[in-house]
Parts: sequence; structure tokens; C-alpha cells
Amino acid sequence: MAIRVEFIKRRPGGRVTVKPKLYDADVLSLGRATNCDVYLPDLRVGLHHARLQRLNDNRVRLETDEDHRMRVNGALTRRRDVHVGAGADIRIGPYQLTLTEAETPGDLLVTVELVEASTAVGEATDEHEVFSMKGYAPDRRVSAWTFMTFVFAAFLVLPVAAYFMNAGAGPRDTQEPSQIATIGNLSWISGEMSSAHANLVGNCRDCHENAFERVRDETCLTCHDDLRNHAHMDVLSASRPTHEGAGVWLATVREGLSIPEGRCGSCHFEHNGPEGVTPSSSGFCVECHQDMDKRLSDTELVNVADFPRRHPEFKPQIVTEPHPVAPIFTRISLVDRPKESNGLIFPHEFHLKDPEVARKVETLGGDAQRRWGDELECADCHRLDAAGALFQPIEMESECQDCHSLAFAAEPDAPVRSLPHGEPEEVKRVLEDFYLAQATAQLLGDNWRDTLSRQLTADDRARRQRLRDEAFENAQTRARMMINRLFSEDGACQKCHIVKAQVDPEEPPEIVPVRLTNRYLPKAVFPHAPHESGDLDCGTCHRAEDSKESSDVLLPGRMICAECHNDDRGGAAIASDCQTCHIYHDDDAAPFMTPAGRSAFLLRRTTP
Amino acid sequence: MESVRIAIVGSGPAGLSAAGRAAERGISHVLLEKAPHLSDTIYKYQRGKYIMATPDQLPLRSDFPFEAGSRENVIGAWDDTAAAKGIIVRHNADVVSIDGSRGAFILTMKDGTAINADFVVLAIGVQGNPNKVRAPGGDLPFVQYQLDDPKEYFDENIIVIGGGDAGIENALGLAADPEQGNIVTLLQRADGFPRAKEANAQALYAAKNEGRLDFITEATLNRIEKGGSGESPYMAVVDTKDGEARMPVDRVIARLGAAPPRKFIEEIGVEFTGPDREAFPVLSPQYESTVPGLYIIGALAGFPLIKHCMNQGHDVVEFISGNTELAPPDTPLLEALFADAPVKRSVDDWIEHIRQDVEILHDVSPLQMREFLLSSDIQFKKRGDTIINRNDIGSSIFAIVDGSVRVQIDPDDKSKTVSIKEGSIFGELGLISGRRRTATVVADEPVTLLEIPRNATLKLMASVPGVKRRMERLSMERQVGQLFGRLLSPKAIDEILAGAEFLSLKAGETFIQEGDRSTDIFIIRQGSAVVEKKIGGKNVFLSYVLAGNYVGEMSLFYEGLRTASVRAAIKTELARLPGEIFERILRESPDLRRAVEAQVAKRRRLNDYIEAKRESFSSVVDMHSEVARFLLEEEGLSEATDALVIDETLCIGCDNCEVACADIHEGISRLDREAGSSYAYIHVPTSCRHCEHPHCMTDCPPDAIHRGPDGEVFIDEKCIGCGNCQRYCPYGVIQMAAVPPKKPGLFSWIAFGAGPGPGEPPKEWIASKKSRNGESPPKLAVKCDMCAGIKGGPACVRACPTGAAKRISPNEYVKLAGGGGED
Amino acid sequence: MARFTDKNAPAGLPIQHEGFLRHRNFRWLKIAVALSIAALLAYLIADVEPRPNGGTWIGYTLGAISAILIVWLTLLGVRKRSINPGKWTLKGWTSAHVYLGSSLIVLATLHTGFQLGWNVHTLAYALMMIVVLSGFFGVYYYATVPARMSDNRGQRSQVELLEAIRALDRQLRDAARPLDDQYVREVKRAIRKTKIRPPFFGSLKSVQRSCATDRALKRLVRAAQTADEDQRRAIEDVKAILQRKSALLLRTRQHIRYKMLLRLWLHIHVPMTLALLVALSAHIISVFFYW
Repeated sequence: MAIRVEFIKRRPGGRVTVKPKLYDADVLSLGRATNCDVYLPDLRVGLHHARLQRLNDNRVRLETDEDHRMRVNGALTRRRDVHVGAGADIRIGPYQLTLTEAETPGDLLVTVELVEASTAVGEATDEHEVFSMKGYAPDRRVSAWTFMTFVFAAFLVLPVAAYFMNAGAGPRDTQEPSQIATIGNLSWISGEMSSAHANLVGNCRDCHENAFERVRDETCLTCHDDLRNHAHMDVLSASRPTHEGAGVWLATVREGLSIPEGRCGSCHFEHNGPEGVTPSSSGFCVECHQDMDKRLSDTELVNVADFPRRHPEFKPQIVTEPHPVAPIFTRISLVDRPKESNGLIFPHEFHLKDPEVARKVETLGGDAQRRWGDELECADCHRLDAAGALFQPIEMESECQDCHSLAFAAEPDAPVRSLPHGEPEEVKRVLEDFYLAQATAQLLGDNWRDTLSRQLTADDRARRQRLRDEAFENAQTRARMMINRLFSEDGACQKCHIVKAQVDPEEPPEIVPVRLTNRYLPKAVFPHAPHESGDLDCGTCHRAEDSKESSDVLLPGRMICAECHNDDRGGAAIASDCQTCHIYHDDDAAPFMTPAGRSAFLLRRTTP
Repeated sequence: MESVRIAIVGSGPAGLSAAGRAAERGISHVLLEKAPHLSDTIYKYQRGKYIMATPDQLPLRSDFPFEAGSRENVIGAWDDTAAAKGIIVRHNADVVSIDGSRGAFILTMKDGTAINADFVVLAIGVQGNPNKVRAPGGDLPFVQYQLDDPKEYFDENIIVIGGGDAGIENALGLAADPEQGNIVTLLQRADGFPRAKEANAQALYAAKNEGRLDFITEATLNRIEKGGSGESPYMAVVDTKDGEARMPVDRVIARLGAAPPRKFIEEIGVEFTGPDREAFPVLSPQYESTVPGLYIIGALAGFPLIKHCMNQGHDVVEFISGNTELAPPDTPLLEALFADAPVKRSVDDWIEHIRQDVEILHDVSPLQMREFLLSSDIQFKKRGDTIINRNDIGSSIFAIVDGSVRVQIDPDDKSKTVSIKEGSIFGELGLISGRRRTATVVADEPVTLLEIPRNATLKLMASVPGVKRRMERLSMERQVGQLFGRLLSPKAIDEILAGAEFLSLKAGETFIQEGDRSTDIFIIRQGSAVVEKKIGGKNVFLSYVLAGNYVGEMSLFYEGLRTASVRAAIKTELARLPGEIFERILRESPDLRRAVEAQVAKRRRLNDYIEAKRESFSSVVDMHSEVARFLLEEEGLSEATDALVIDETLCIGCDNCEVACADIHEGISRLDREAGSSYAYIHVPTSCRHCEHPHCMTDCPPDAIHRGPDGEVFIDEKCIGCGNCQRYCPYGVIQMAAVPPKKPGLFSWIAFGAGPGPGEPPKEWIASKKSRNGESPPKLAVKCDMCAGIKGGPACVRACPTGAAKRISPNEYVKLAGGGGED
Repeated sequence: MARFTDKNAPAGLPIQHEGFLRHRNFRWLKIAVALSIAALLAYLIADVEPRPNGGTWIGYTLGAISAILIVWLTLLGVRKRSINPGKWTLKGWTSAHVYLGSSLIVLATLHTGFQLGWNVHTLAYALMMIVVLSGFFGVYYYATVPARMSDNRGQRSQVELLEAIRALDRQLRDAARPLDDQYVREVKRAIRKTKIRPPFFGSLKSVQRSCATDRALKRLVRAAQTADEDQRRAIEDVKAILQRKSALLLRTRQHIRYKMLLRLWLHIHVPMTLALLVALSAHIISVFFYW
């Protein structure tokens, strides 16, 4: 009547060890507690998990404590009686117990075997798992590939695709590239386009026609087709300096980076913001011009390095011979105090200062009064042209006549005639007619209608004949006298004009033609409008108030410009680079336009 | 009573071979073996132990086959041959006495039976009989004296008796796998484990801490008795220092060593070369002992190598059967050795000539001469030839057989030389200090030199006490000479040496105590020492003295008062020179005094410096001392020639050093960065220090460990994976690893993580290894080789991204420490 | 004798390691500074049309240098992993990497001529800046964390940390056997449910508090006061073990955090570098594509 408990251990290699234990009792306690008969040392087993009680020879009762259960023949239960003969499989925690009859009759055999691993202890966590960045940060390789692919697709594939999407149609093509292509192109654009080219932004191929090829000059010229060269090509290349010193190295760098010289692109840089592509510094010009004579022996151009310091005095074109058809202009440097012979007699000083002029002006009434104010100013005669660059030509009729009227009357009470300006012949004719008319009138004054001539005596007829002759005689001489007076020293003409000595008394005297210069510096641009600012007035630059002769050249000297246009003056400086006054491409755009005006103008033409 | 012509006692390699020869020649013989099987010693090797067939160059001359292989194969082959040749063997025949002489020997067995023999060949080896357990119950069946395969025992209470290496290794083996469920207890009579290898002892302590096994020191087995629970019927009663302890026992494994058979042999009447333990029987070239007709061969005759033994077995029978002309099998090799000698001599004459000429070899037996000549080299140099250069790495010694050489004592001035005469030796300093050659040696006239490699020399010194004595005396003479220049008269040197006394200290033993009164001077012959001074109760590290220097002279200038303590940094060999003699000599030779004073002055400066700086720099100085202690003593840098040191303030733990190491060494890293201890952010990882006297070389069966030209200690392809070096290395820097195959390039990995990364073996290779973890591919010993021959030097240092890794040698360290040393 | 102090006073260590920052006495720092200054001067002196940017000769030069630098710097990743023989040291490379890398800030910025926009060119620049800045984090952590890490880790290796924890678990399993089932449940949870790795965010303190081990510990501490004699002894044992484990966990988590600090930045640095490489090539190609 004993219970034999066998603890079974299986070894790797199928080896089995059995440790038998014999109990001479009817009740066995099974549990984790050390004082249990069947000691099941595992945390999944209750302290006093179950007890096995022998009811009689062939019945056994298995029951657990209240808060544990067990499996008997697979069924989860708290209490179960089993028939020894039938035997039973009991499962408590990880332990498998079998209950059978022992060889020795009447005895009970209980085998105990651990069939699961005992309570899992933090299963050998792999060092690399625990201490890796796994779960803390994405795998470097993965994220690297992700980023690379994205950048590659978005910033390399797409733009290149865009290149093939829209064929190079040149800047004149108007059709807009597809949205996607534009995005691709924009992602490659290296900087904001100039306002002038803003319309080209969407499609790189408008200008960059072929990949891996610098923008060709022809492409630029498709629009800028009327640009003339600064000078003849070989002169240009001849004048280009040969680099030395650091210049050599620099040039080689440039060359190495294949930044060729003499291209549109060498001076005009796009993608540098809206300010435009016209170079703003003298660099490019000076490069050649600072020592041009070295290379171009036959040039009459003076070397120029910069305006305030190394720039020749202005060399205006001066009228030396006011020929009616082909007046002769000569360029004389202001240094040589040039005198003009423009055929006009106009003392600025007198007009601006003399009280008599003022008085005269006062006498004018009506509109004239309104126009001239009470004394003369430059602007009264010199009126800016539309472009605001130069002045409208001075006209006798509009500028002078109000004072210098050509009105003419024989007697104070006689009706006023005004003589035509500019045609001496006409003047002669007008006067002759006038006096002839006068004579005829007198003759008709006698009452000779009542007597017919046959009724007259011979004497009467003779007297009448004599009277007639006297009258016409008289009229002619008067006319001649009047003409002579008109063209004479103190006649009206010679106030302003030079009258040549009379060759043939029958003919009216000849007047020297007037040639007023309206652009003194043909190679430079001087917009007056922008200069009418602050306390600047004409007098600031033009010494008109003390010019007694109209032959004075009132053009201000270079140094006067340099007062302001001088980069030495730091903050107060006003651009003094070449482009301020000069234009590289000598084109047919109105030469006197400001650079801004020009580009606007050119733009207007390029876009139909 | 049975009677034969030759009775062969002991069926080891020698005995077997002899019997085989006899059988072959049809001589009546009997092979007496006390065990129930042949060649007991080898039979008792652990299962699968790999057996070497060294020396390789020596031809095998035996009727038995023998080639390197596992214990099983070797024994199997022998058993088969024995059966095939019809050798008459008598098992369990334990010979207790041999009487009579040539032609009439009587051998008596334990069981009383006796045998008559004309000749006796004694081949019983040195193993003798294992000491038995004398306690009651020692004869129980489960008490055994060997452990074949620890994996065979499960769920047993096993008591291992004996704290020798054998015992410890068995205990560890049995407890290695917890699955086996063995409860192992080791009993050790002594306190601690003095006889065991350091490595083994440590492993044992570790195992106890992990609760894998238990050991009781100062304990003896009292008795084994019946009783105990149903599980284990027997109880062992053990006397421990705190009383009697009872423990269930299913098996006892006694490893109590063995009694050497010398007593038994002397009873027969055989004389030995000397009284010391290592002495061997006096033998004729034909192995005949002083008892005519009784031949001794094998380990007992001083030949531990199986091949030798087998050859002797063959030869001895030949001799007995009258073939006296038979030349030893190594003769052709030796002839080759002397082939290009200017004078023609027979091998025997040469051997004799060398033995007579070279002083240290006087008491080496011809047989031993033959043996070590095989591993040595003979050189014939012309006048003016350079033999060794200063700062060469090399630890072999040279014996001058004929002629003489000159030693350049001053590296700057070649003309300053000393002559070394015929019969003397040189190069022994390298042997002793393990450091580079200290001087250049040039042949002074045509010389015949015998170059003996370090191992051979050590073996010789171990086996022939005479050699050791002479070597020591000689090297001392040299060292004294070296230290005190040529300032000492030979007379003075002799005088000092006469008074000199050799001491051998364990690491940490103090031999000069600050404050003592003594003027003795110590020459550090081997190892190194640390000089410390007590300042404000703290020991401050003063300097670190390398082998070949002397300490203790200070006291001569401080009225014999010791101004600092000196203690051995590692196991150290010292020579004490009595102070009074030295003082007298100093008085006699003023220039010597000056020399010593100079030395003293230097050390005194350091003393004063420390004294002065102690306030301002105390913290620094302490730190310094601590670190010095840590590095030199705990981390054993004092015996290192080149060690890897990591600065933990820089180390980011990227393990690139390991990766690099593995990458450059077929996928196995030789260093473990994390392992190893640190102090004050100085971390000494587990990686080879290339010791002066490499522990790993202690017992390398195939002699595969060498010191390379750059001083690196490396293992060559001869390695057979026995794991001895691993066990011997106290720093655990050698690992047994399977060498993985070559791997593809790097890019695929960087880009796609495809293929093995840097320093990783191929994945499939790892898998294959994991899968059959049962028997992984054959393992070999791998260790740091200082990346010898790789341009740029050690990969670990080159591959450190932050400069945390650095290799230093103690000389550098001494310099860094700024103290003493030779600067 | 001066050597004694000079060598050791600063660090207090008798063995001087020369870190990657001070490599060859700051050689690469000097070079990098020189390079940057040179670039800056060149930028200031050279007057280029129409304005300094990538398209000018100096722009091209700076760009070329920077590009070459970037590629070379990237190669550190390869260098580190190909331990071929040679007289190089990774330390030297790292040093150069750090300092030259920093000088890129100057070079590349000057290369842009401060002309930035929403395009591939600025993308490349931005990526580069991200890479360099993340690199600075790396340098900072490399300089500060290791010491703390070594303090925290004590002499243990990280594997040993795990081993120790596992060992404690084993002890727990055995020590808990005599406990009442209610406590056993806690202990079981402590064994199974303890997560060693701390979450990415959150202070370690809170991590500890929420950790199963600590909960079990608290529970048992309370239990210990009420429990009867024989139970208490068992509880005290388990408590002690739990305390050891909790302490160990803290160290381990701290260690993981440190390791994270040392590596996290790389997870930005490296992918960005590679993205940069592509962006850079796109940048260069685009420039010459539309020449």
C-alpha cells in the first residue's frame, strides 16, 4: 500500500535517469513548497498546488487548493477521482505526472517529469539586439537609399526629362512648357532671371538650346538682332589686352573653367536677379581702354581708366562753319576753350540779366505775358524733349518773336504787317508791293473820271502823265529805303543775325545761316531730366548768366560732373562707371536714352 | 618457471617497439604490462587527445607504426600490430623485483609468479603507479584514478580528490555542462592550489562563484561508508578544517599524482647521474645501465618523446642481439648538421668535442647531446662576420666550440670590445631577460658556433642541473660585468659572485624594505621591480626597474639606511650581493664608486623631486602611483614588451579595433576591447602583451609559438589546437577558434549590406557552424601577432577613429613615468 | 625630471593618448583654418562680374575644392572599413575629417556667394550644412560621452551586464519559490515583462518607475512589513535580488542611452551625406548641362 514516485529526467541522447522515492502514506502533497512530498520547483506551480489521496485500493482522488487548477487527462479541473487501473495523466504547471499501478501489486506509481522548460528567464537576449539602434533610429542604409533615390529622381531625372520634353525652340518660341517640365526646370535654375528675360523662365532651352553647350551668341541675337558691334571685330580682338602677372593666372583659370571672352555671356550675366544683365561696372571697358594706345597705335582714343581720375576732358562737337546745307562740326576739347560760330547773335547774359529785357517783357500783354512771366529763365526757351534727355530745338517763332516781332507799319496809324522770318526775298517783295499799292492809291485820288482825255488839253494830259510817273518813282525808292533800313546795322535782323555785305543793291542782303548744336557729345548720353533734382538748376552746370556771346560753349567741364559722379565720394557717390554715359553696343536706339529707357525700348521692339 | 631471452617491462611506446623488434627477429621475449591493456599512460590520455609525432625531422625506426593522430587511432594501430606480430604479452603483470644479472635475471610479479630472462629491457616510463586512496572504502568500484570522458557522467555526486591540474581539469570537465546535472566537489589537502596552473586555479574559483561546482581546501577524505538516501547509497566523510563533513557520493576520482619509480630502480642496482630529482640513470650509448644486461629506454632514460622511445625500443633489441654497429637513427641528421664543417669529424667525435669544449655542456650525457643538437644549429663564421646585432630580437644562446668572438660593449664606439673565448657562451642575456640583444658580437677569428634555441636551452637546464648551475654563474658574471662596466677586476667579480645568492620572488614580494638597515645590492636577473617610497602614509611610485639593472646601492650613501621599498612586479629572479663586500670593493676602486654615484645621483634627484612636489602635485603623484601599480602589477605590463592600452575618455566603443583585427586576421579578432580591467580611464583590453617570457610557450607540443623578428609572439601553422597556450596564458588573450574562409569585397556590403561586413566571416559559414554545434570545425589557437609584416603596424591602433587605442612597451612606460630606468 | 609633471599634470594619466582632436598637435585644425582664411581673402579681394557667385572663376574654384573635399570626406566611411595595410591611421583621417569638414562651412558658403533659392543648388548646400552640423554633434558626444560611459559601466562589459541581469533572474526564479502565489505573480512578471531597452524619449527615472522589476520590488517592500517570520526571510531575499537587478537595469539603460548618443547623430549624418552626394552630382551636372 505504498506510493512510489519516480522523478524522470531525459538527457540529450535519449538517456533517461529515474530517481525513485517511496512513500508509505495514503496522501501525497504536490507543490512548490519545500515541505511538499512531491516537490515541483517551478513558479508556475502553486505552493501547495494539489494533493493526491488514496480512497481505496483502486480509487485515487486528486484535488487542488482553491486558487489553482490542474489538467487531468486533458480536462481542466479542481477535483477528480480516478480509477487506478485506468490510470491518469496529470498536468501541473510544466510537470507531467502519470498515475498507474506499480509492478508490486497494490502499490501506486506516480512518474513526474518536467516537460516544459522551467519558467523562462529573460531568454538570452542577443547583445546586438539590446545595444543596437534598432527601434531608435531607421537603418542608416535604408534611409540613405531613400534620400538618395528621392534626390536623384526629383533633382536629376526630372530636369533632364524636362530637357527632352520641350525641344529647344529658341527664345522666340511662345508655347509654354508643361507644368511638370517647368517645375523640373525651376529646380535647376541657378538664380532669379532678369526682368528683361522674365518671360523665358519656364523653359531653359529657350536660351540653353543644347545640353552641355554654353549659350550661343546667335541665340541672343535672335532677338537682339540689331546690335552693332562696338568696333570692327579684329579691332576689338586687337585691342584686347594680353594678360600678364596675376592676370595670366586669372585668365588661365577662366580658360580652364572655359569662361570664354568676347561672348555675349562674357559681359552679360543672367540669373543674377531682376536688376538686369547689363554689367554695372567699368571693369570690362577699362580692361581694354585703360591702355589701348599700347595695342592700337593708330587710335586717337585716349586711355581711360575711370571717370573722375583718368578720363579726357569732354570734346564736344562745335559748329565752326554754319553752312546752310553742310555745316562743319569739329570736335574740340573744352580744354581748348572752343568758340562756336552758330550764326546766331544771342547774349545769354543780356537776356537773363538786363532790366530792359524785363521791361520789354512787361509790355507784352495777354498770353505772351502769361508765358514769359516777368523775367526770362533758361526754361523759358530751352524746353526738354519727350525723352527728357535733350531740348527741343529753339525756333524764332516760338522762342523769340514775342519780343523780336517782325511787325511793320509805314505810318504809326497805318495797318501793321508782319514780315516773314527766314526769307529775305519774300521780305523784299512784301515791301515793294506795299509801296506800289500806296502810290496807286494816291493817283486814283485825283478826280479825273469826269473828264475824258480827248476833252483834255494836251497840257492837262502831259501833267497827268508826269504825276503818274512821279508816284511810282517815289514808291520804289521808298521800298528800297525801307529794305535797306531793315537789314541795316540797327535794323531788326541784325539784332540776332549776321548780315553779309550787300553785293548787288537790287538784291536783298544775305544772312548767315543759324546752326544750333543740340547734342554736343555724340558718343555719350546725358539725360537732363534725372539731373533736375535737389538744388540743381541749369546755372549749376551751365554758366549762361555771364555769357556775353552766343559763341560761348556753355557745356560744363568733366570736373563739374565729377563733383557728383565720383566713386571716391563714398556713400554720396553717384555711379561714375562707363555705362552711366556711354553705350557699348552702338545701335540705332535713340542714343540719348537712359540705359533703363533703352532696354525698355529694345524690349518693346523685340516683343511684337 | 618460464624463461625467455628478453624480458621487456612496460608496454609503452618503447617497450612495444622493443617487443615488436624481438618478435620480428624471432627472439623469445615477453612483454610485461601491469595494466589490463597496452601502453597504459597513453591509454589514460583524455579521449580524443591529439598525439604529436615530434621531433618531425627524426626518422621513425620501429616495427610499430606511429604518426600524429588521436589517442584512439594511435592505440588502435598499436594493438592491431601487436596482435599481427604475435607479440607475447602478459597483462596485469606488475613486476615488483628484478634480481640477478646478464643471462640470469629473475623477475617477480605481484602475484608471486616469476620469469627468467637473459636480458631485461626496462621501459616503465616515469609515470610510476598512481597514488591510491588509502582511506577506508578507497577500494570501492566507483573510486577511479583517471577520467576518460567527462561527458559520460550524469546526475552523479562526484568527489574529485587532488588540487593538481589533472584534478582541477577533471572537476571542471564534469561540471562544465549543467545539463549533466553532476554535483562535483573537489577536495584539496593544501590551502589554495599551489601545484596547479594559475589559469586552472582561476577557472576553478570562477566555477565555484557561478555555483557550478564546489571545492573544499585543507580537506582530506576520511572514509566512504554505506547509508544515505535512496538516490545515492554511499556517503563520503570528509575531514575539513572546521570538522567532519558528510556528503552523498556516487563516484570518486582520485588525482593524487604518482610515485616516481626511482626507488624501485635503484633497488635493482641501477645508478643515477646525480641525487637531484631530475637525474637519470647512468647509461651506455647502447642504453645499458650499470647493471650489465639490463637496458633502460624510454622516458625513464630521459626521452619523453614517443618517437625517441620507439626508436630506442628497436635499437636496444638490435644491440642485445649483437648489432653494435647500428648507428642511432638521428646520425644522418647530425651528419648533415656538421656537413660543412672545415674539419671533418665523425658525429660522435663532434658531440664529444663539443661536450668537452663548451663549459656549460660538461655534464650533458651524449644521448642528451644528440637530442638537443637535433634542435640546434652549428655555424661556421669567418673572421669579422657579425653573429648578432644590437637590438636584434633573439633568445637563442651561442656556444663557442672553436675560436673566439668580440662583443662591442659600447654601441657608439665599435672599437670598445671584449673578447669571449673558446668554450664560453654568449647571448644568454636575451634568454634570461627576454629583451632585445644588448650588444653586437663579431667573430674574432674563424669560429665554430653552436646555436641553441631558447626552448632547447631551457629543456636542457631543466633536465641537467649542471647546465643550470653553470649558466647561472656565467650569466651573473656577465651581468655584474655589464652593470659595473669593466670597472671591476676579475678578482672582484669572483669575490662578489662567491658571495652572491640567488633568490626567486613571486610577484609583489618586497625584498627591500624602506627604513631597514642593510647595504645588500640586488641584481634583477629576470622580471622587474617597482621602487616605491612612503610619503605622507602613501606609497608613491618612484621608478620601475627592468631586468639587468641593480637596486639597493642607495643605502651605501645613506649610512646603510633603505630610503625606499623595492618589490617584485612579477615573478622575478634576483641575485643578492652582500653589502660589505660591495662596500669594500667600492672603497678599493674609485672609478667604480664614481659610476655608482652617478646612478645614485639620478635616483636621488627623483626622490628629492617627489619630496618637493608632493604638496603641489600630491594628487597627480598619487594618481600616478596608482596607475603605475595597476598597469605594472595587476595588468602585468611589467612583463609585457608591447601591450594595447585604451584611453576610456576617448574610446567610443565602436569596436573598430576588433573589426580591424578580425578583418586583417581572417575574420577572427585577437582582442576583446571590452574585456579586461580599467583604472583611471586607462583600460587594458584582453589582448596579447607579448611577454618577455611568454607563458604560452611553456608547453606547446608542436613548438608552434615563436618570437618574431619584431618581438611579436606568434603561433605558426604547426598549431594542433591542443589549447595548452590558452590555459597557460594568465591574461586569457589566446582563444581557440575555427578559421573561417576568405570573404568577398567591401563595397557590396557598404552599399547593400550584402556579404560579410568588415571583420565578419561569411554568413553561411557562421550558419554552418551554428547548425552542427556538436562538432564545429577544427579549432586552432589564435592570438595577436602585432600585425607583424603588415605595413603600418598593428591594425587595432591604425583603425581607432579617436586615438583611444595605443600600444606601449614598459620601457616607454618607464620613460613616461619619468622615473629611473635607463634614461 | 620635468617630463614627469609636464607629461602627466594635465591629464593626471601617466600614459598620454593623443585624441583625434589634438592629433599631431592640431595639424588639421591649422590646415583647415588656413584654408578658410585663404578662401575668405580670395573672396574679398577678387572683384568679379556681375557679383560673387558659383559662376565666377573664384566661385568655380571654391566649388571645385569643396566638391573634392566632400567626396574625400565621405571616403572616411570606406577607409574605416577597409583595413588594408599602409602607413595611415584612422585617427588622422578622423581628425582631418572633422576639421576640413568644418572648413566646408566657409568654403561652400563663399561658393554660393550668398545666392540662395529654392533649387537643387541650395538643396546641396542645405544638405551639406545639415551634415556638417550633425557632425558637430558627433564631435561633441565623442568628446564628452566616453568618460561618462566608462564611469557608468564600471569594469563590466555590456555582455556581462546582460549576463548579470539574467543571472539575477535565475536567482529570482529560485529564491521566489517559497513565496506566496500573489508575490510569485509579481516576480514572474518582473522576470518576463522587464524590458531592458529604455524608450527613445522619457527620463530613465520614469522608465525605471514603470519597469516591471521596480513594481515587483515596491510590492514586496510593502509585503515585507506585514509578512510573517518565515515568509519575510524569503521576501527579503527576493527583495535584495530585485534591488540589485533594478540598480543593474538602471546602469544598463544608462549605457544604452550613452551608446545611443554616440550613434544617433550618425543616423542623420550618414544618410544625409549620401543624399548630399547625389544632390552634389545633380548640382554639378545641372551647371554644365545648362552651361
